Amino acid sequence: MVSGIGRAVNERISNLLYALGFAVEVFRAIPEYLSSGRTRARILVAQVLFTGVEALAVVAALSAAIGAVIIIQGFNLLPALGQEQLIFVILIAVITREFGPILTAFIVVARSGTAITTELGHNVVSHEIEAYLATGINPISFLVVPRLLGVTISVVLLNIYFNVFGLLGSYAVSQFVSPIAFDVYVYGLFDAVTLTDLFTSVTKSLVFGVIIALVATYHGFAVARAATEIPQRAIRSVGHGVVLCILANTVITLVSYL
Amino acid sequence: MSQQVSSAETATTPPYWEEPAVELSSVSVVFGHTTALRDVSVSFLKGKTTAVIGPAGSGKSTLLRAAAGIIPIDAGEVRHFSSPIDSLNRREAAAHKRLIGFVFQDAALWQNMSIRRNLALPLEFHYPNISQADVDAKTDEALRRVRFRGNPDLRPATLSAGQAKLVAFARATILDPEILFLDEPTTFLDENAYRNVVELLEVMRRNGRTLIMVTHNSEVTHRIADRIVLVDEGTVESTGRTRQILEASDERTQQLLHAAVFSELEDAPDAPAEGFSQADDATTDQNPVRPASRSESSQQASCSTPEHLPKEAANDGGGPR
Amino acid sequence: MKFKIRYATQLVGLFVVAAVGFALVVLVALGTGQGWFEPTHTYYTTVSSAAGLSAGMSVEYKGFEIGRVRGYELTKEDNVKIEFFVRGQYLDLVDEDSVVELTGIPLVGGELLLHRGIAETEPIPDESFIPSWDSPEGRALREEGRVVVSRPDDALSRIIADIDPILERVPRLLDSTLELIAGADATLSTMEREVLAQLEGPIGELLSSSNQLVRRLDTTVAEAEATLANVERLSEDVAAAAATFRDPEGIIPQLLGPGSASMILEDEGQLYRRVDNLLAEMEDTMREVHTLTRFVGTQTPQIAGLLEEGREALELGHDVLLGVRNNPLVRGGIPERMPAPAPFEGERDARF
Repeated sequence: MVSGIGRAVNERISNLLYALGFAVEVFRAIPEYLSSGRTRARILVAQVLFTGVEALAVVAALSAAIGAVIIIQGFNLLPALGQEQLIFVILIAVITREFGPILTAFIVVARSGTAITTELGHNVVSHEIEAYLATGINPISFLVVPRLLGVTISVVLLNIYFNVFGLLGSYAVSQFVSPIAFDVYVYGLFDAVTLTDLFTSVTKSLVFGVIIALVATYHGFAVARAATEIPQRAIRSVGHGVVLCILANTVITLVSYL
Repeated sequence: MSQQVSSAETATTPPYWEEPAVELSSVSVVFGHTTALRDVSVSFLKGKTTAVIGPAGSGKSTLLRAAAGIIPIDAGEVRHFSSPIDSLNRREAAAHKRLIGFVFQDAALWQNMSIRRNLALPLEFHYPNISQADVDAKTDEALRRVRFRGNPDLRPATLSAGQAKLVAFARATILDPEILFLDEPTTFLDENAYRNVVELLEVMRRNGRTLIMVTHNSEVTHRIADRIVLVDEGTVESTGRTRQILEASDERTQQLLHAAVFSELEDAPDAPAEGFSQADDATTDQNPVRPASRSESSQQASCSTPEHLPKEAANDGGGPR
Repeated sequence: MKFKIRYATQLVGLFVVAAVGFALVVLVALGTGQGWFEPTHTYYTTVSSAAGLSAGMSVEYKGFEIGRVRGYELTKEDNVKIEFFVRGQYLDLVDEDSVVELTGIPLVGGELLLHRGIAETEPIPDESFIPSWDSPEGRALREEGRVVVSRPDDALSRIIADIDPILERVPRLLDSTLELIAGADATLSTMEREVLAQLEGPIGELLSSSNQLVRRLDTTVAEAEATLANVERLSEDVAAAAATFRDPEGIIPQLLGPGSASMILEDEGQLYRRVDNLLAEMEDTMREVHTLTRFVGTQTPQIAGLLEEGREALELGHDVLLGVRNNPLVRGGIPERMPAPAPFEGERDARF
């Protein structure tokens, strides 16, 4: 019993160390990747295409809907307090600071995190990774780094699009609820947003992108030999990705606004 | 009993005129809680073709991968041309990888790129300044060499297993490696492809390349292999010239040889050894290879000729060499 | 699918360029709007307390944000040094006689108000000192009338701004009244003694003492009149505030009305009723103080007690306003106040 717990803890720690070592390896392989030629650029472009471009519709719909909800609730509640002006602060706080980064991260975890884990897991099972090794191609710099960069770039860009659609979509809705001139709306937003908000938002997206990519690739490579491990790893990849993103979100919010 | 054979012929100390291309000394490989290789020391001679044979689950594939340096080893040392491969710097490692090729049992083509890209990638990786025209010329030539018929711009998923194996062979040899590792080079092949591969292997052997292959196919063993490494339960049972091993009189070696050839039916080289007993009581019939490959390549017109297995391919020692 | 693969590079390029372009436009617009590209000029001031102060708080002039507070620290002299900057385009507003004032406005938060000097001078150099409202330098500038007071004008902040000088003045008035009483007492006892001594003592002493008393009474009355003026203004403010408060459309009911803030507070309008009562009470007290101060000159003995009561009432009023200022939204409540030692327990005790 006790030794069982000990073994479990040991295993946890060694897994954690292994994961950290993996992360370090990945970061060390980035220069190698960047100095390499067009072959790898193609993987990066494909990754941004799948992770970023193809998720755009979902992100746009989600953010516009959330922006609309904030506007509707805000126009119901805030006039009673005489604080209509606060709607801009709330929009910025919710969309730019919090939901933009974390919801895009969730979307990317669900879409691309699973895809990456599944793909790499399949690569392991079908010996494609060994084929890379036999050719002398480092799978970390060839497979992980472009995914890391692609996912990170995509998450940051999707966050920007989330803001665009979330703030403009909510403007469209505000026209039905309580018409407001466009320049007044934009001015209100510009008045409410600070550089810290933008910086925090982008930082969060960067961190989330790195987390998602590392977790997904780690679990992909953690598949040992059986195809049945792939879905299990995909599930863990999502779970770990979501949890780590939420933790990171809390930490960054605390650091930025305290 | 097998100790007698191995003590007489074990290749840890090869004759002075035969240089080793690949040497393993005291190599162990552990997967989780199972030891796949236990303190293995073996040499593969330069310019020779060595067949690694043994029953299913005996650790042949692991031995091959460890020898090629594509799986990490837990103990011991692997040397290629006398250089330990783990202590190479990045530049040397890249140069070293140019010298080796590996053909996987299931082809292991990169599914996310076209067949042509599968061949071009090693070229572009090792020769970053190569022109597109050279790449195209080289890939076309490699595909022609293996007599690949098909559209090289399609993805590997469109290929039959036999065709995929040919492409894998083309990919592994596109850099004209000194040492070629082959994991079951002839499984999944229809008759034409099978002949092509055997021919290609013979050409490479004549050209002085070092070939190391895991195989169950007795014909291939007889025709091509200069030497045999007999593996069982993670250790090397015996090594020696093909004829010596095949004609060895001790029961243990004969048992293992039977098991080795039969276990190809299992089609799972790394599977746990429960297939062993099954293989044990099987007889050395001539059909062991074909049924599997026929079903694998049933869409190939050429595979409708069932009797392509050479009659002399029984493992009674009367090899065609 | 085919389309996407074939034009992958173009699609991704568009995706990246559009997002980055948008981000740049926002950054530039935001930067221009918030004056990142403008030169700023740093000044500092000292105040006695950092309460209500925060870094990044805006520096305002006539409701315009002309700069921000960079930071603040406690100095060795036990003051709070505030460092703030003023944007380049508003540099002209910073004159030699400028004064800054740290204010707290209910619900909106605090801000640093800039008051210009009357005499328009060249802008003062960076890193120089601008006196704060309550500092001796600031006070001097104000009393010399060299400062243009520019203050936001709303009912609540006006009351809060006005109540402070009254609270400051009333105890002073009280003190002088007490002094007066003590003086009168002394004079009377002297007179008594003199009478008992059958007028043996020097009559001149008594006379001079009486004269002194009369003079002191005069200053006290003058003081009382000044206070009266203040109190009158305050009463008007309170009455106005009370009126807005009862007006269902007014700002305070909007803040406190059962439909909004109290809903958040979930105290079933208790706070509303309490503030209502307090305001009513305050209005009464104000009337009382008002009447009271009229009789300062004549009704000397009662005055002390009444003034004391008035002071208490004013303190109560102050609490109410503090309560309002502390904002129902944050539920600051009314702070505990240490009971000030009263010289008399009430009107009854004040009568000899």
